[in-house]
Amino acid sequence: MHKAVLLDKLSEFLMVEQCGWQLYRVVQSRAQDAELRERYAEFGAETDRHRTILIELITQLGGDPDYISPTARVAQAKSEALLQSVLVCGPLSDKEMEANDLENVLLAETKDHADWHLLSELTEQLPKGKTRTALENAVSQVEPQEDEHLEWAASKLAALGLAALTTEAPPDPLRLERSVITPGVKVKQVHPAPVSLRSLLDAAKVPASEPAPASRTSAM
Amino acid sequence: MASPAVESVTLEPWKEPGIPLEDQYRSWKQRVKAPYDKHEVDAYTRTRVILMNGVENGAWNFSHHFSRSTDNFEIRSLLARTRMVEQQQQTTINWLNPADQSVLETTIAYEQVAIDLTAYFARNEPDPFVREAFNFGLLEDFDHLYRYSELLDYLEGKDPDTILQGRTEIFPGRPTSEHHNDPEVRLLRHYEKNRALPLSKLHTLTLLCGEQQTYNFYKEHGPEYGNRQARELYAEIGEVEEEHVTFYESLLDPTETLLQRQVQHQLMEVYNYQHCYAHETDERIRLIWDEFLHMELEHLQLWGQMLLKYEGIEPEALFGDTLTVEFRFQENQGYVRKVLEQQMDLRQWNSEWQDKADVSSEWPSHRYRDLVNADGVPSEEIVDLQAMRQDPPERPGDDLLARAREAALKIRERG
Ligand SMILES: [Fe+2]
Ligand SMILES: [Fe+2]
Ligand SMILES: [Fe+2]
Ligand SMILES: [Fe+2]
Ligand SMILES: [Fe+2]
Repeated sequence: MHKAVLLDKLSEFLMVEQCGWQLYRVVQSRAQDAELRERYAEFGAETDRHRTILIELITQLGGDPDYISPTARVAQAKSEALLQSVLVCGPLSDKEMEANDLENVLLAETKDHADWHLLSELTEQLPKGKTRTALENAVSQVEPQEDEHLEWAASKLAALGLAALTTEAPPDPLRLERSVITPGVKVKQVHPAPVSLRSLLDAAKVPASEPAPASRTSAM
Repeated sequence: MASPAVESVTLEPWKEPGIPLEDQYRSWKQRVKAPYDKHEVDAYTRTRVILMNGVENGAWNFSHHFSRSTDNFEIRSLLARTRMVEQQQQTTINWLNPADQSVLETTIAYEQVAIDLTAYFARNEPDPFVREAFNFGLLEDFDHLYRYSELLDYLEGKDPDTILQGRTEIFPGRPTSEHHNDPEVRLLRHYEKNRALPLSKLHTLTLLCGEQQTYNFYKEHGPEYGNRQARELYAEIGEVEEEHVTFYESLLDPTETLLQRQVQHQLMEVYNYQHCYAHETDERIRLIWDEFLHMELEHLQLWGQMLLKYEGIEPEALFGDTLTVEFRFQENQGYVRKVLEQQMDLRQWNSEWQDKADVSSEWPSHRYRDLVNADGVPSEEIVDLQAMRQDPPERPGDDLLARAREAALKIRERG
């Protein structure tokens, strides 16, 4: 095993913990469900601790925790894209936002879980020595918590989804219209004196305002 | 007012052969061409020059924004190469403006672009909400033209109609003093990228580039006048153009990716060069539009391939197999009057429009307006300055301006 390869991976895993911690901070601040808030606080603190453990591990192995590998950059971009998703589109109801945040936690924890699983498999294959001991030490502290993070996120998301589908009141029918121009929006509802098609003098031919079909890419 | 017959052209933009990218760079001498003669040029040739300068600056600007946001070398390289061409095209086009055309004369033409572009787009806009957004902006640029016309007469003693050539009317619209809004008020609901017709996207992006260029022009050239009245009027209308950029850009779907926007910019360039080429009366300039149209077809196809490669979408799925171009610069006086009659007193709030009599006292723009208009409104002061002038109305065009001024004073009185 080349140490540089391991250190590149560890840099990526550290970034995953770093971004996971940021994710927990954001979603905790807007969660309304008490269990969500409590768990986010707890798992966020554990994730913060995982970050410290990885920093210590990288240092023990002679690496630089400030080094950021190419795959760490990808991991960061991906994790930030999870949070960006609700910045580029909306609006979501509070419940939808809460479920979407939890779904992001599930996606992040899936990756996080896979990282620690890989480290644990690697540890088993390593010859006895300083590297193996250092890895063993880290894995034994973190891996059980990662199991819990992932399992909880998956089962809680399923429970929230089921509850939403079976008990939730229908959403405000106008909520999409408030930010998006929907095909059904009647301009008269938002405008006291719209220019009627008839007054569009003849030289310019208006392509009748037929609703556009949704664009879907075709198979090649 | 005779309207020329509609001639629309339908292209297959993803297939039509263009000029290979490696053959698109031009020497200094090829790039800089002789300017048009401001006394001879057709008003709509001048508006095409102004519009296409804005379109190229828009494409250039967006390409830089995209480049700053990607680490993919293939994309950055194609951005750099196509952007170099956009920038050369921009030089050729903007350098067609002659040195003896004053900033104010050019300004009159900028507002003529805004009016006849927005009016035609509104008349052709398939989406009724987007159409009303255009109508709303139209009445504001229409008023800017009147205020600048007063300034041109006041400062340079020139008849604005020598620029407009009777194609666009000089008359007060919704008064400029009322274009000043709490910035949030300008935000509209946006189109849905999967459902909006390509034509709505092309209209919106074209207007957006036009408004952005107008903003840049006023902010860049306003301080070139020593006269305080002129400096203040450019500051005031310059800020309204900022509001127009905010207004039109809020129509874009924010989930459009950078690559999708890049394709959209190239398609929008093709669209606009096509109508320039089709309707240009100056044979020399028509050849420029023809050449640039074929450069853009190549840009469009190269970017369409990138979209397929990196996002798995055929560009035709987003923008259609064919592109029908119907736009032309032409008179819209009857239409503008009609909109003015119906919509002069509208105000905007919460992505809706209301009659000003119905606007609540909570409307945030009340406060903003009181603040900016607190110690005088340049766009009103120029009317008073002109009204107080003693000289006999004997220059050509003075009667038209006097008629407009009378209306402006009446509108103010009515409040
Ligand atoms: Fe975790
Ligand atoms: Fe271009
Ligand atoms: Fe304007
Ligand atoms: Fe404008
Ligand atoms: Fe281009």
